[in-house]
Formats: sequence, C-alpha cells, structure tokens
Amino acid sequence: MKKQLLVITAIASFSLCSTAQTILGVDVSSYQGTPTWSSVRNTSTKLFAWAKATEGTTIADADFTYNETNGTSAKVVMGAYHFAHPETNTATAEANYFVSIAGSYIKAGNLPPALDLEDPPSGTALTSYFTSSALVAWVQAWMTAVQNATGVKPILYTTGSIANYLGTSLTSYPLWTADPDGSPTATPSGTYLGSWPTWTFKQYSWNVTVSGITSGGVDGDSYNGDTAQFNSFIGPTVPPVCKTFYTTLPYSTSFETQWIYDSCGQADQRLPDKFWKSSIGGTTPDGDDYWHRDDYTGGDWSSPTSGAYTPAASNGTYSARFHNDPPPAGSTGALDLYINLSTAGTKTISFDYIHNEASPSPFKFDVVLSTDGGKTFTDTLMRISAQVSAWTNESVTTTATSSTGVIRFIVTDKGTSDVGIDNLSVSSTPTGIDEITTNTDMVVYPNPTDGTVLNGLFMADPAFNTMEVHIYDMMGRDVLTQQVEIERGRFSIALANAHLVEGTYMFVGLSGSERYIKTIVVK
Amino acid sequence: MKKTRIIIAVLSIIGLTAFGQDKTITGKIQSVDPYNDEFRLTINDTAFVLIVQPNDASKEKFEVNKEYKDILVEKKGKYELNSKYAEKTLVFSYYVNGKGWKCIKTIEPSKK
Repeated sequence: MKKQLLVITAIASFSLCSTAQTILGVDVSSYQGTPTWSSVRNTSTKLFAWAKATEGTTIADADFTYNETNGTSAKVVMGAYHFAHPETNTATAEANYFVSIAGSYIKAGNLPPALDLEDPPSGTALTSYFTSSALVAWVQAWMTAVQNATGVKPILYTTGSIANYLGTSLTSYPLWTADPDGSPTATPSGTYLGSWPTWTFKQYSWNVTVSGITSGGVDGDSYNGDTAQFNSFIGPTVPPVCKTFYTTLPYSTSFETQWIYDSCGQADQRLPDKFWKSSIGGTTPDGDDYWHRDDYTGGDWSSPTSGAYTPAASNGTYSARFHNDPPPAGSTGALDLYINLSTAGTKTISFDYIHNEASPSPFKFDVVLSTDGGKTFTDTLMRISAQVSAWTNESVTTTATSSTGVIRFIVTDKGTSDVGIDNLSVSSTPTGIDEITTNTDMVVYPNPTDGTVLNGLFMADPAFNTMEVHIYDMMGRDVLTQQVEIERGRFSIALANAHLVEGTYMFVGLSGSERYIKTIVVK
Repeated sequence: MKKTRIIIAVLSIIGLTAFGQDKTITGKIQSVDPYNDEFRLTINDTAFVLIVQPNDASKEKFEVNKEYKDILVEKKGKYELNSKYAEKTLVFSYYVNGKGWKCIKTIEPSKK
C-alpha cells in the first residue's frame, strides 16, 4: 500500500513539473539550516533528499536527525551521506562512525547510503594524496564496511576527475555524478562518468532555489529512471527476507564494537555483527525482550538502567545484555549466532555469564544448537536457572557437524536483574581435548593479560600438584606448552617467551582425567 | 502587540538584507588550485571557488563577468593566474552555494 501511495504521489508531483517523469531531489547539510520539508515536498515537487550525516570521524551534521525525521514525515524519500576524508582517516573508522550516526535511517524504502568523495576543503586534491589503486582500496573498504553493517549497497558520489581516476574497480556501485550543468535530464558526458557505463543520480546544480529552504541555493539532483525504476531502486517499504551470513571457525567477540542495525528487522533492533540475528517469542513478547549491547538506550528497552549488572563486562567495556525489566512472564529473547560447524571434531563454545538475581525462578538461560539453519533447535547444550552473581566462564562442547549451524542464547521468563554474556569464542578443540570434566572451580587471572604472565587459582586444593598447560591461538595452533607446579591451589605461567600478540587464546590445563578450558585475552 | 510588530518588522528587514545578497571581498589572488573540477582561488587567506562554465570542456570560460573570463590561463596543462592580474587588488562578489562554497560571481577592479 505504501509503495502504491509513493508511486501515485510521485506521478502527481511530476505532473506539476515541466520535466514530466523526471524524479528530482536535493541534498542538504547544515549549510541549508532547517528546511520546511512540507514546503520542499509540496511546492517544489522534490521527491527525494540526501541529508549529510557525518564527515570524517568526528563531525556529525547538526541538522541530520531533523532532516531525516521531518523529511520522512513530509513523505520525502530520505537518504544519508558521508563526507569522506581519506587523506586523514582509515575507511573502517569512517564507516563505523557513519553507521553509528546514520544506521537507523538506512533501510528499505529509503535511499541507499552514499559516500561523498571529493577534494578536501583544504589541502591538495585527492588525486595528489593517493595513487589510483590506493584510493580505490580506501573506497572499497568503506563500501564493504557499510554494506556489511547495514545490508544495503552504498552508492558513490564523486566528481568527473575522481571518477576517471578510480578506473574500473568500483563500477558495481551506482554512481551519483557531480555534473552541475543545470539540466536534470541531460546525460552527463563521459568526462563525468569515468568507467561507469551509466549514472544513477546526477547533481545537476549547486545553486537551485527551493521553497522551504531559505538559506539560499541548494544542490539539485535527479534520478536516471522513471518512477517504477526509482521505487525498485530504493526497495520495498516492507522488510525483505533477510540474508543469512555464516561465520567460520574460529569465531570470537567481546561485543565491543558498535552493534549494527538490522535493516531487515524491527526498527530498533541491533546485532553484534552480520552473523547474528535476534528474535523474541514466547507467550507475550515485547521490545524489552531483545538482546542489545549493554549500553543500549534506544526504543526497544524501557528503563534501560534498571536491572543492569556490574561490572558491565568481563572483558573490555561492553557485553551482550538481555534486559528484563521485566518482560511479561513466559516471553523469550534469543540471540543467534550463525556459524559453519562443518569441521569434524569437537567444537568448544566458551563465554562469560552473569545473572545476579537471588530468586530468579521462573527463569532459564539456555544455549541451544540448530544444525538446520535455525529451523529447529533440538540440542540443548546448557541450561542455567540459578543465580550467578559474578562473571563466570562457561564452556560447552558439541561434536555436531553442520554448515548451517546456529548457536542460540535464549532467556526465558522474568526477573528484575538482567542477563549478560561476554568474551564469547567458538573454536575447534584440538585433538585429544574432547572432554571437560570440570571447569568452574579454577580461574585464571589477570584476564585480559598483558602477555607477560598468567596465574591460576583453584577454588579448592586439587588432588594433583602438576598440570600440563597448552595455550592455543584461535587457529588452533599450540603456541605455548608448559608443565606448571601447583602450590596451595595456585600456579603461575610465564608467557613472555611465547611473544603472544594481542588477541583471544584458549587455555587448556590437563592433569589426569581433569580438563580445564578457559578463554584468555592478551592486550 | 506593538512590540511583536516591531520585532517582526526588524526581522523582516534583517531577512531581506541577509537573504539573496551577494557579499564582496577585496584583495589579491594569492594562489590558484584545481578543486573538484573547478578552481579554488585563495584571497586574503580564504578559499573561494571559481566555477567552470557548464558544458565547457575547454574549461577556458568561467562563471564570472565577461571582462574577467581570462582570469585564469592554461600553461602546460595547468591553469594559473593570468599574469596581468598578478598583484592586482580586485573586488570579488560571491555567493554561498548549496555545498557551502564561496563561489565568485563577479570581479571588478578596485577603485582604491
């Protein structure tokens, strides 16, 4: 229905326009102040608009949220663009910053995200800063990062000279060419297209007058196609079937990076990365049942500070948090990791867990496994239903083999304290380490370690006084083997000679039939 | 009521003055650089943009009054300031376009 309305609106608008069927738009930033979007839409026959979201890694456009909110309310098809500073920052840093500001506005029914690649306002031209291949690599990295984070393919805005400089490598991304010849419909010459076979958007003027924008001239843009093509380009206004990405072994995360927006999910849903999905269910699900990074303050959660656990993370600054303040009894919140478990042998899932509630019943936290892409979860790997007052490492194993594995962390029912997981790793356990007879009665510290020393402490004196320790990296390589002496339940391992680089490792302690497996982090 | 009318009147005058009016700057062109397929002229340490006439592949004509179409000349594939304007104090009128650029509209000799 919305799509039909859009088409009708577009045709009605263009009937007022001298260039019938030409889809026009503007792009705005804080230079334009705060446009009256209803006037832009109704009196200027403008249908789409890009709003500047970010620049570099520190500048968020002051009017971005205003423009997105009010433009959308006025039925203008909105989009977000990022002004690049490749001469200053890495592509990944800029992409992450852009997504953190603009992510929730990138979805089907809106314009795709755009990278604004032009000469910096000060200094020399980009073509003087970069070789062609280096500039292509920067742009490609930004495009990939944003597409991975949002699920939407970005487009590239640039000038003719830069388009030519980029060669052929980026032509799979739609081109928004800066060709201010004053004509929305004239086909840009090859000078402006570089190796692109065609143009998708054209910035035909840098100084058009638009009712509703009183600051002066504004950039005028046009779309190369008719209304049906435009609607197809921006995608349906209902969520498409989400694409599924399976990560490979080993996988680890401490949930430190900004969670990405699930463009296919409900509006406020976030995910740790593209290999995750989130869902709610049970008898009376509501938004409070969604998992988020612990510092989330968006629309899903009510009273986000209530029920928070301390410390907020067992490793780093953030953790994944199920906020139950309270969900209706019987509802569930699931956080699913899609992972290729086709490697033969035992796979170890290790994570830290906290749920500091003295009387959690009725409550359960399950780790369950699907081997059919999430259609059925038949293998319950672990269940916790009691209080766990401090961050505690948990490990479970499975020998299941499936290229479409899904590890689900699911909380059922209510409580007044939230549930946290952190420091997650999934890896193939090295040959011979296929049983864990005990794991929670020994801790290693400091964790994270600086790579010089690692200490161990048994909760009760063990029945043995030596232990064989292996440290494995996440590729399964044995990077350190050491026989340690245990005195009064304590031991210490010198790590310095192993020259461990920063990252996540697996600690395996062996003594007789006892197996101790811990995830450690070197920082 | 009277106070409101006065405020509205004052704001209207300010608005009429501020909107749609070109600004001017007087100075010498310190440097010329290519900039996004246009040219950046630095005047009094401030960047201004000289827009190339649309659809002019030769880039020899600029969006400026005809007396100063030769403000830049091509030498060995690069555009530079025409020597006859070097060290000349000129008056530039400009407007701010949608990209926030200060675009030169006219150039006149300084009457000083």
